[in-house]
Amino acid sequence: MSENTANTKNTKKERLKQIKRFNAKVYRQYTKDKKRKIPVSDYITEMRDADNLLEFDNLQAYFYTDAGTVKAVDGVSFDIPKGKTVGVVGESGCGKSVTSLSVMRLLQGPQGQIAGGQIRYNQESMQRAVDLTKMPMDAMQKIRGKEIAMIFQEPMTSLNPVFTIGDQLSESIKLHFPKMSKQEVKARCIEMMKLVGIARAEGIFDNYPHELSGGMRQRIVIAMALSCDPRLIIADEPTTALDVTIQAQILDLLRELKDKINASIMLITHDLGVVAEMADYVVIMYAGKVVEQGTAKEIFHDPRHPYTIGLLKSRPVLNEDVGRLYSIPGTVPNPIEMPSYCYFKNRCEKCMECCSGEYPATIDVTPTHKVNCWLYAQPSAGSEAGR
Amino acid sequence: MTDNILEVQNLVKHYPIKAGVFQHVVGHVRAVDGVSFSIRKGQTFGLVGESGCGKTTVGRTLLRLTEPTGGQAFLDGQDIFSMNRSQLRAIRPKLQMIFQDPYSSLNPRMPVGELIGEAVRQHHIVPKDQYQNYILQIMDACGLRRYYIDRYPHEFSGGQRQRICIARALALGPDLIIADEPVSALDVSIQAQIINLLQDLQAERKLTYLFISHDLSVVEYISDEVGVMYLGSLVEKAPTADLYQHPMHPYTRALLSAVPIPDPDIRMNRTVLEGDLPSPANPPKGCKFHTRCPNCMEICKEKAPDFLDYGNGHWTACHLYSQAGENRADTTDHSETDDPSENNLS
Amino acid sequence: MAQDIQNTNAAEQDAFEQSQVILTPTQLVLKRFFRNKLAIVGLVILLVMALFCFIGPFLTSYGEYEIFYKHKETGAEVMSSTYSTLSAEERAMYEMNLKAPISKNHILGTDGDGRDVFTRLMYGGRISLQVGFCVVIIELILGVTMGGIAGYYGGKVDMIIMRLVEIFYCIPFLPLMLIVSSVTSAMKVAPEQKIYLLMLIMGVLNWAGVARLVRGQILSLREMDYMQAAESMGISVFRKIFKHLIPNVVPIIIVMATMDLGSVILTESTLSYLGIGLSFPYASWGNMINAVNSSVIMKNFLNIWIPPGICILLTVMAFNFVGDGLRDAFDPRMKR
Repeated sequence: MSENTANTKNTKKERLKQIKRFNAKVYRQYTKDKKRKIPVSDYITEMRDADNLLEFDNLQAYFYTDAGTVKAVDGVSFDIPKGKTVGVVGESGCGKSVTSLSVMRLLQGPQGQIAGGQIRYNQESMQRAVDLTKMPMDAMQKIRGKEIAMIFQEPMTSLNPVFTIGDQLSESIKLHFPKMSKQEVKARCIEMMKLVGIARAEGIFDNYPHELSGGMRQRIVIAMALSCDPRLIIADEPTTALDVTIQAQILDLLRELKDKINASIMLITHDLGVVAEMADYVVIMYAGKVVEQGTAKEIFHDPRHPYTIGLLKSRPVLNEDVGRLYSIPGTVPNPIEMPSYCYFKNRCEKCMECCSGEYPATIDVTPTHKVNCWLYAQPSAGSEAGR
Repeated sequence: MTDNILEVQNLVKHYPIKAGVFQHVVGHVRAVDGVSFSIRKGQTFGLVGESGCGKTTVGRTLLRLTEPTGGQAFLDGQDIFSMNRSQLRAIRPKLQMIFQDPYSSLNPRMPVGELIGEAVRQHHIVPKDQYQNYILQIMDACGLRRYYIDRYPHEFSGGQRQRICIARALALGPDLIIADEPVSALDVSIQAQIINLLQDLQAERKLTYLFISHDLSVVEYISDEVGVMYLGSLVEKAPTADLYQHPMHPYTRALLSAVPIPDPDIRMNRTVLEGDLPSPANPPKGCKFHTRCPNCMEICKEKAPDFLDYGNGHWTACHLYSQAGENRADTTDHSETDDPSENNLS
Repeated sequence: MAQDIQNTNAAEQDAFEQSQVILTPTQLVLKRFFRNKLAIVGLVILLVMALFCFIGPFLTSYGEYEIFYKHKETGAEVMSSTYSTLSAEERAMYEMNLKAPISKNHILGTDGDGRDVFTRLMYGGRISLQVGFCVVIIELILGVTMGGIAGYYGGKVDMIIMRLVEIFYCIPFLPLMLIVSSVTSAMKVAPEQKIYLLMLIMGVLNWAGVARLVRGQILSLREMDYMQAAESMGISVFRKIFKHLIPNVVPIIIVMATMDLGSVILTESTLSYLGIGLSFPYASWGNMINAVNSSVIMKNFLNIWIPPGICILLTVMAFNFVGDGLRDAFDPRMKR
């Protein structure tokens, strides 16, 4: 027995060593790539559909840790059409935030890297489509903040406490529009603050973040994101840290703005209620993969994947009498060494024989509604054609 | 009256604000400002409100984790606030708490068995020879595997940690459990597991819960009676169905309409509250809600409304109802048309 | 059917979980510590130093204060013990073997007084390490008690202790040591007693930092939910302190003690170098380097002052490596 444990211990050590060697190799490659000059032709691509603003195509974002490779995002594909809101829903650790950070190229290297796939962005300002995953950092800088803006979860920490609101708002305007005069910049800031519903904009311009309430700060963060007329706004849990009544204010604001500014919104949240209110399309993620996507109506009225169904049933809904709350048993599998079969198998109620086989392919329920589950695979003609 | 397990009368907790070199008191934060309610045995009382409304402070003062400034609280007829240390220790097992953050509420240097069993031994809940068995039974009841007993908290996920916290509270055989946002730090699918566990335990062991949360749908699901707090005071208190179907206080109505419904077809015309929560250090004169109230009247700015019973155990503090009998009839109608469930249909 | 698969799933999960190795927090810390290469290097250096200083002297026949004499003509060498038995004429034939070069008899040569440098290095290290440990123990006893009391009870007690800490922070260390040194030499205190006095003063002057740290830690621990939970479960004060509080303060104390060991050794060396610490004939790494104040030695006899310098450097560095490693092991978030 003791020999046995010693053996496993040895193999474990061996494995850790392998991981370390592998990681070192990956890190070296990363630093080399970073220094390399990337010609424009390398990152120019074609959009699959010209009406899309952003297309994720088999995106893979991995974290190379000492314990092994964590596939935080593993083959995610979905589109963000122009002027629409796409809600990305999932529980903590499902890779929804990593997906958004990949768009901005903000993953912490060299541990976190985009390992494969494409993020195609329709850069209309330059009349071209680019692959954000291959873009050099200096070109990325021009897109970040100007064309793609981000709203973070914590309004408390996403503002710098030592600068005034005005300083922080005008910073990115100055950066992206260097020709603007001081007065113009300030006028623009105040216009933005009025846009997000701040009545005393002139007064608040010289305030410091700590003098404002949480809701106000989130408005400022939104104003910052909007200040350069972005084409895409990534909102990472924009209302999670706020109270219900403030959340309602912010959601109303975001919905209003969506019509005014004609931008697309990628809304990342775990709250299905928020998604239902805001989103046109919904993407459900589980353990680094998209398990189901479709229009909001399709997802909420006709959910197909057992995980989506479970998620919808496990939240009590106001003024709706449910008997016992449905709960998905078990927990998310360990992110290292994911199984080859369906990741949801161990928690699934409708688990079948074939679920132990390979990971289910994407099946089109309708042209917009896609699901990855063996339940909907046609045994005869379907599964391959479905791809 | 006698089947009330907890009775809180006019609970007050003020925190002094100190300033200057000599730290003299310049004012008070009125965290809890005269809260009264009672909980019947075997029932769940939900306490909802936004952050900073004092709901957590209510829970902590009831446990005497912070000392109350005034008021009385009776657990099974015994006054908690007038007890000395040893008396308090003796009744501790009857009154337990589950905390919000399952990560900081477990001592990282103790194995699960010790975490659950420590207080059991201290209070001699079971004879020594049955101790081990008792702990295992409690773990079974909370859905923890028996072999977890020697493991340390760092090996568990949030949901399992919260189960350990529940087991720890349960092991003392409490009558009343104060659950302070027990599920808000957890993922949706895990929330459902924990809520179901709490309900199963309540049915099995005739537990009483004081369920503190900001999540209105969870509170509706789990509670028999709900109290809504705003700036340190209760503004409305009623049996759950009554409160959610016919909310009286404008604040309750706004809260309910602010909850997002997971159905894209429902576009509610919600009453969005203007502005932010005033500072509890300097609450507005008159009705505390008048600065944000959509139905604000002259009297609201002058005089604070009384907390009155409007039948069927539906209490509220609002001038809309307190004026005259005929007025009341109007406003109840009004409240029904503003009812979110009706709006849902539109 | 589905139920069956569910059950097997659950069973698999169970089997997997049960096969997991359980690690206590202490084991986890050790595992993380031993993964840190620098920390291991530090630990090895410390072990070697300890062996060298405490076991080494037993393996050499030379004493700490032994002065070596050399025959003027033959170059034969005798120790002071033999030298004292010689007659006056014979003595006249010998002279002190000053600043001898590196040789088989004297691995690092002899110093300006004709004593073996290598041997003195061992004895000097002994003193330095002893001083380090004693001072740290004194400051820990004082600091942890005072800081613990201040943090746990708070209020007036806390106020008084923290003001005391501030006063101790204001005492200028070097001038005080100069005064103590001149007072002791005026009162003709024996050198071996002076060592203890030195330890005591350094310990008493250093506790303030420890107390401040421990108090801060306890204040933040007291607000942790598990302390509140312990309170609400009616756990006795004794258990609360010894089971919940102290085990969670220990990591930070260990880290700080390790780091402090290094800095105390450095301080002691500084004092000895300035001539206000340990005095002759006792050896300490500090007063061995003191030899540098003659420029001849500095330029031509590197073997006299470089070795103790390297010893100090290595030891202090090793303590810092170990301390850093411990801190990372206790709190992996601090790493980056």
